[in-house]
Order: sequence, then C-alpha cells, then structure tokens
Amino acid sequence: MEEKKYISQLPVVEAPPGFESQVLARVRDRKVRAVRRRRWEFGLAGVGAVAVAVVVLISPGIKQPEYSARQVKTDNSSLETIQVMEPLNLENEMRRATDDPQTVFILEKVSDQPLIQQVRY
Amino acid sequence: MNKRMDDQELMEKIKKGDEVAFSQLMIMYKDRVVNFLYQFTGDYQLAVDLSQETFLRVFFKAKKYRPIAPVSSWIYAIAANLARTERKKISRQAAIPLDEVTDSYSAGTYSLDHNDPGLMRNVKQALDRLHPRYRLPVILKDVEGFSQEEIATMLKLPVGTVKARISRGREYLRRWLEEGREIKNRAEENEGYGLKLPDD
Repeated sequence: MEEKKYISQLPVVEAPPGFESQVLARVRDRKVRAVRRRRWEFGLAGVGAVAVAVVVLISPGIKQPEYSARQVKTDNSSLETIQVMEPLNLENEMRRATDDPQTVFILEKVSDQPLIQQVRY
Repeated sequence: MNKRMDDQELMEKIKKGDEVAFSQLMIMYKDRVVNFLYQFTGDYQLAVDLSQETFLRVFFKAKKYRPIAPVSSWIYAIAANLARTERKKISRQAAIPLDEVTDSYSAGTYSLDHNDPGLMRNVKQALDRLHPRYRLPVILKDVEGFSQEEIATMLKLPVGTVKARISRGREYLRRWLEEGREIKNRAEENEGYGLKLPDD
C-alpha cells in the first residue's frame, strides 16, 4: 500500500490567479461569436432562399402556364363583359335527331354451357 | 448534503445563464480540477487550458446536467473526457522515431526515504508512465478521493472494471518503484567497489 500513500502525497497545484476572469472572458467571447454565427446562418439562409426564388422565376427552362388564374382575373377586371345572344332553331335540331337510323340491341342467350371452361392439356 | 444542495442551486442558476453563480462554482472547483488534470497530464499549462475548457463546457452544457449525480462528478467527467481526447491528439501528433525514445524512468535512481526530494519526482514519473486506462481511476481514487462507484459513474464503466483497474494500476506502480529502488542500490554498490585515483 506504499504506492497509495506516495500518490496521495504528490505535490498539489492550484489554479493560477485570474483563472475565473479568463474563463468568464472566454464565455463572453463565445457568446458573441455564437450570436454572430447565428446571424450569418440566418443571412445565408435568406440569401439562399432569395436566390432559389429568383432562379425559379427567371429560369427559361421552366415553362409558364399559357393561361393562369391570375391572367383570368386581370382579363375579367380590365375588359367589359359582352353578352352574346345566339338564336337557336330547336325545330331543326329535333328533325335531325329523328332522321338518324335508330339502333336496337337485342340481347340473346346463345349457349347453355358455363362461360368459364376447364382447360385440358 | 448542504454542499450538494448549494451545488444544485448554483447549477440551476447557471442553466439560466447566471455568471455570478458560475463564478462561485469555479471558485469551489477550480483548484481541484487543475490539480486533477495536472496529475493526469503532467503539464501545468496544459492542465490550466483544459480546466478552462472544462468550465466553459460546464457553462454552455449546463442544461444537459441532470441532478441524479453530484455536480463534482459531472465536472470531473467532463475534465476526464477532455484529458483523454487531448492525450489521443498528442499521441497522434507525436511521431518520434523509436531510436530516439529513451526509458528515462528506469535510468533514474531514488530511495524510499521520505526526506528524499527525488522520491516524489519518481512517483510522479511512475504515474506518468502508467497507461491512462489505469492512471485515470488511480488518480481519481488516491488523489481526489472519490469512491469506486463515483468513478464508475464518471468514466461510464462498471464498478468491477474500475476496481480492477485501480488494483492493476497500483500494482504497476509498486513494481516500478521497487525496480527503481533496486537500480539505486546496485548503483551505490558499484560506487563502493570503484577504484580511487591517487591525489597528485
């Protein structure tokens, strides 16, 4: 057990003077750096989002729809509505319908055998 | 118990970013942490740097602390992890050719006389020679006075493993100290048989 005794008698060292103030200074420094880093991250994220939006809007590879809902709205608001009255002669329509040959489908049973037969090889 | 309560209260305040509470905690533990890291690394400046890093982590990771273990155990666990990481970093960087490596410990001689100023130096050298796997639990037990259960919690090892490592570490130290003593005795014997040159 001698070794245990010797180890416990080893010279003890202490923290240097000003230890706490140095640590506190490093704590504040890291806080400031963390805030700066967060700002950078937000800034970069914002720039990235804007860049993606610009690319999406300007890119010629992406085909715009020919007639979008927005265009419909703007067209409706800017133009006057013109009511078109078209005469319709229902008599002619009815006559044409009666002239067409009428098709009659007769459903007839043609076999007594069941529809699905067993296949033999 | 009161001390532990104080520690817990301080930790609760540190979790909210209270720098005054953090300073109080540092005052309570800075010397112990520096001494522990000095005994482990053998380098005072490195021990101070690692201690500062330990307390920085205590401040910024305070929210991760759970009051199931004493604050001291948690702080020592952080310090031990940092010390181990630093040791690995140093061992990766140090690429010394084998020819240049000298066994400085076995070349040293000392006696086990308590008045011998070289004794403690040699004990320190033996401790430095010990593999960190054994050195860490031995220091925590014999220098810092933690129980085996507390050391097991700090190092995240089973209690049985901690016991075995402490025992093995002490055994190595005893063996090396005895070897050093034999070398010293042999050197003294050789000096006794040496020829004396006549004075002019």
